[in-house]
Amino acid sequence: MKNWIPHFSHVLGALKSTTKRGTGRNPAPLPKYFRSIVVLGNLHASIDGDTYANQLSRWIERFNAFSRLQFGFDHGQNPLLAASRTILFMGDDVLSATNEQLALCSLVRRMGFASTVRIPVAEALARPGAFSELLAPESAVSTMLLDSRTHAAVDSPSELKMLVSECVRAGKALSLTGTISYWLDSGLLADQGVNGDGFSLGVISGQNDTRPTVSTFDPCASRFQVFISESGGLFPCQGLVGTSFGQIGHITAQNPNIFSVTDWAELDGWAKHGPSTDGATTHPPGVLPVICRRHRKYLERREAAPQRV
Amino acid sequence: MCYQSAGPKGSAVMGDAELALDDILSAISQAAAILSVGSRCHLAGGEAFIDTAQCLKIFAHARDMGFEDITTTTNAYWAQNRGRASRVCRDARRAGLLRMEISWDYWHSPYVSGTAIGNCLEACAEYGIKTNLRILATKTHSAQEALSQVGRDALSRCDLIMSGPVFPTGRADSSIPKDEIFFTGNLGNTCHSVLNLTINPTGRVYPCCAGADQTEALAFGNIKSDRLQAIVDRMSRSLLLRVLVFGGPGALLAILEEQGVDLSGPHANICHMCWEIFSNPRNMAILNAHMERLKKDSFGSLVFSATEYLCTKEQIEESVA
Repeated sequence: MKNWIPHFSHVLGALKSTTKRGTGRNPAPLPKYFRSIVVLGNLHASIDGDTYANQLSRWIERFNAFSRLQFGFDHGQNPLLAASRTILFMGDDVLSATNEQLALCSLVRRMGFASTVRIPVAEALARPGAFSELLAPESAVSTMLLDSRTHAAVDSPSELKMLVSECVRAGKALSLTGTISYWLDSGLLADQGVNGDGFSLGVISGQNDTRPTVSTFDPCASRFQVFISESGGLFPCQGLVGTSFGQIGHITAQNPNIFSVTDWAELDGWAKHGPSTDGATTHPPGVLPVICRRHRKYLERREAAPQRV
Repeated sequence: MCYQSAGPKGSAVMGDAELALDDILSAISQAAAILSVGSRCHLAGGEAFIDTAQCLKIFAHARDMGFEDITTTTNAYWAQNRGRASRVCRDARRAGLLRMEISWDYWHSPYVSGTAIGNCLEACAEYGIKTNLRILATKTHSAQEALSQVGRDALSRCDLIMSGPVFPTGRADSSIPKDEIFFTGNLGNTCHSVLNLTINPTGRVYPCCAGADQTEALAFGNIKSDRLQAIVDRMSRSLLLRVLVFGGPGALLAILEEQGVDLSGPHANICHMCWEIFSNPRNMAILNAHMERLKKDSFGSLVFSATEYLCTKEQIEESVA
């Protein structure tokens, strides 16, 4: 651990010089925006001769060590920054990898992270046994996220109610996502168990997000998390996942500085003020915010343009 | 900034207290310079939009001081008229507001209609303000009942809906029958994800706004007499707060029960339990004495996370070595 310190000091020094909040005096290291993680990969997949799950476990340990050093947690500094750290597992086919999923949730809980596991409703209905494994008494899963986005209508209301009741009985926080009609029609929002424990519902409109950007002030800070793609790439936000220009590292990189990005100043500017779209007024269709789609389009154009010397 | 239990004559808990605009702006300026405060500045209620002009000044000041996530809570009473809803959202977005929490449920509905909520959701979507509709429920009045008063088209413009059980503090304690309230909450939860550096109308500063801010015991200082940095430093050094953050109020029960405190009564959730613990000064004295003993035992300063706190002293020493 001590061998890392000179390297971190160098990184921290560079970060502090570029990251002042408004007219405030104290530096705010950019990695403070990257306290939470979204995992998009399939835990069974293979990366560099090992499973995604194993590579991910090792990277999360490095990430945790990096954060502890960054913020001085081990010296009693900034303990409040250790709160509200979450890991959302969004990958496909979780129910085929329940052992790996439970081991990861157990690992991250020991580090002080809350974990959320997303399960598509169709998969949970098709494999109730595997779903139950995630709710076992020793399970460290904090929140179950039931995703109905692929459903136009509720087709198995009684089975769905059993799944949700099982989550409630297991003491897991309940999170839902899908259209408002799906969840109102399910009748679950009137259920005593669901109301007694509480729930959150991420509403999907089912249409393109056409919300305008009416202000130049649209910081990326609240959109920033470490997104880990299916191939193990690290990205600062959902809008840049899969792009070469948006990648800030890889889970197999052994460097204790878990981010390999060189231009922190540009990321810092996005965090504080929002991305540049260079006046772009059009954007491709999609569910991401308009500003993200315009930003990605702008960066693709910038990347494709001949480099000036 | 929070003003729970607000009413026409101030707060039922804190009396008629008010922070001057200059004090609020000064606190935001100070908070901007504190790393561990995070990126978010939130203006909560009572109902702050009674004075929309002041709200806009506060949002703009937070934006100018470098906060990157500027949010507020309102009951959306001002959105009964769709035109006014648009104007308020347009001005708020221009001032820097990015997210709006709309606090509304069955008990609000006689005073704020479902139409106003729908107008608010649509106006926020029109101007790019993300919305979180926050609902409370009892055994008789569910989230579904409240949501059915708002049009589905408007609800589909909402980003997030959060529902939780009513817990019996403040006015709910005196006006809702106990047998209506859910006492099924998980009392093993931690405060890990619900913390907010909170300033109430008296100027007192708390680590959260979910009930602790209605007690005197959990105040870590007052912005009228202390610099905010000094108050945050006090929080950072507090072993008691670390236990709450990573172990939750449930982790304190054994300490209190050992001293004969009976906390066996039903609790709706950890916030309700926390409020009950810290509303009694004797409990605070017991906990402070216990934490002082832990500090003298030297390993308290090594506490980092929930799990490590719950580990034995030997395990912690081994991991540090």
